[in-house]
Amino acid sequence: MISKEEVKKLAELARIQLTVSEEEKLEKDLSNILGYIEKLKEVDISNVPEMTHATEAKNVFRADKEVLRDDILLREQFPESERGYLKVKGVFERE
Amino acid sequence: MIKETIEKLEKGETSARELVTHYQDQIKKKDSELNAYRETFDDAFEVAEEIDKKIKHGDTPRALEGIPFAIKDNILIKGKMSGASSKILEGYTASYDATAIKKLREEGAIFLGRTNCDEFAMGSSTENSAYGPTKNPADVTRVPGGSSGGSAAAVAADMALAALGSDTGGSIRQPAAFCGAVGLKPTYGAVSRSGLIAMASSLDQIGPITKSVEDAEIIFNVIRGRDELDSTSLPRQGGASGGLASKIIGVPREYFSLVEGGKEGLDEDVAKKFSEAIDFLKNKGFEIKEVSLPSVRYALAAYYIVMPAEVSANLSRFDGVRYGPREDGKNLFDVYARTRERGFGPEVQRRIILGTYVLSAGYYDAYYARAQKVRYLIRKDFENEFKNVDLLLTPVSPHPAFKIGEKISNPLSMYLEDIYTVPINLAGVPAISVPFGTVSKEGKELPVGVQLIAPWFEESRLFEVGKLLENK
Repeated sequence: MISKEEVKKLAELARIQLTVSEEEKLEKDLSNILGYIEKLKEVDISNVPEMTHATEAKNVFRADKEVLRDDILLREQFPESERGYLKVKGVFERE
Repeated sequence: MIKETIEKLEKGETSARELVTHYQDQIKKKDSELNAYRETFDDAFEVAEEIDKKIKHGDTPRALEGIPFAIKDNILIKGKMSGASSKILEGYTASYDATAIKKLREEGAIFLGRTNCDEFAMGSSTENSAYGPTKNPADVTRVPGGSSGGSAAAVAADMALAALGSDTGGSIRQPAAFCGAVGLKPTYGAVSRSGLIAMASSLDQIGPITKSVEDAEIIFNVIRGRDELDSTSLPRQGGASGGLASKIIGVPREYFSLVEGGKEGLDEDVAKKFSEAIDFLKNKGFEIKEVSLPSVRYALAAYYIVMPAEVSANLSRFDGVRYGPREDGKNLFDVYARTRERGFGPEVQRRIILGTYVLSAGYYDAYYARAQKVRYLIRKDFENEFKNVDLLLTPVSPHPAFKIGEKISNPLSMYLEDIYTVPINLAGVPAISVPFGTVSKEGKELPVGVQLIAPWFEESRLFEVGKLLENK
């Protein structure tokens, strides 16, 4: 159903590092689950629209004005900060 | 219980302080074994004292004055830690109140603590919590159900008067049934999701777990309503109370003879209880009609595409950058990948990767688009049958609470737990799980629940018939 190479690629896309035994377990579990999901192929879906919204509400807008929220607690959650700024590793690397 | 408790408060027969003391004593006595709570809040007494002062002063009690609540660990309370029972949020303190919490607070509720759940609400047993499983108060060798297992166990073991949980595919109703409590999954959009740690946003709803149907009704009426902070929330509607509205109750044939994978049928004792519930309602004068929801047999398969797809998107925010523990790495990618390896448990990783797969280029039409079409058909099925009946009646779960460890090694068998509850979330309709006696297993009496399902925004019908069922 799903190959080990695919699991590796998916883990990379999902930004999750996996051990070899975790990859093997996932390969098995995902194949099982996808096998179960196969039954959807029995359903005649010709001319059926996709249900893309859970409610029928459309174009929900709010007033275009500034909303202030207390952000002190939020800033305290930063794993690393410097002078009140969120500190992260550089996005671009030198070759 | 809420009404009676507030009357006692008003008459001075009890105080909010006494109530908090009672529940904290129960927690001290029972929770080292049950593990329903992740944390109890020290400031519950301060809030209770303020409330007692108000009552003494002669203020009219509010809808939930002095009522002690347990709150699931994925619903934010400002200034309190909240972690969805995941290591990736360890130490995280909420910077705002969930809207449902704000509304409870405004009506005088007291928060006793936060309760254990499956990590990010993903599971049906609380065994996926990073902090150990909760035990079922009826039999401690069994699971309390999940994901809101801590909330259900807390209410069932009298460690809280009421609780909040969240329900994406059955996470309020199934643990309520396993523990012998009432659990309500409101109509999608009835209760704001602001401040609920998101799992699958088109399915998630916050709802009450309580000791009685009336309590669920009182709490629902407090937390419902349109909220600017959740653009999918809708204004109060439907449910004009007064007069017994419901006359015809449908029993979907796909539910009562549903056999999954050739082995996951309905437990005989549970089937017997369910027949009793049908007879009971017949005797009360309801017409019971067999109906058909032909697409529900595909609901679980559709759910396991739609839900992980939304999970993979929603959980991308947990990357060690803004909150929670951060693992070090040689570059940014490494920091993400290591943080998410260490922080997420196996079930969460599985669903993120499954979601990433079904949304991959080339697979979208085969999986996601197909599932969304099946979801449309399921919704239509409910729409069609609700033209013929006022309510639907089904079991909550194929069997009573199972043993700790019984299903944890096989993800698919755990997923099949939700076979009766998932279609409701896909359609967006409201449903309630009401205790209906017990069945005997290995010398223990295990609670069984029945599920009532109503059309969109017709929660009042659930309460009306639910009250009859709980008083049998």
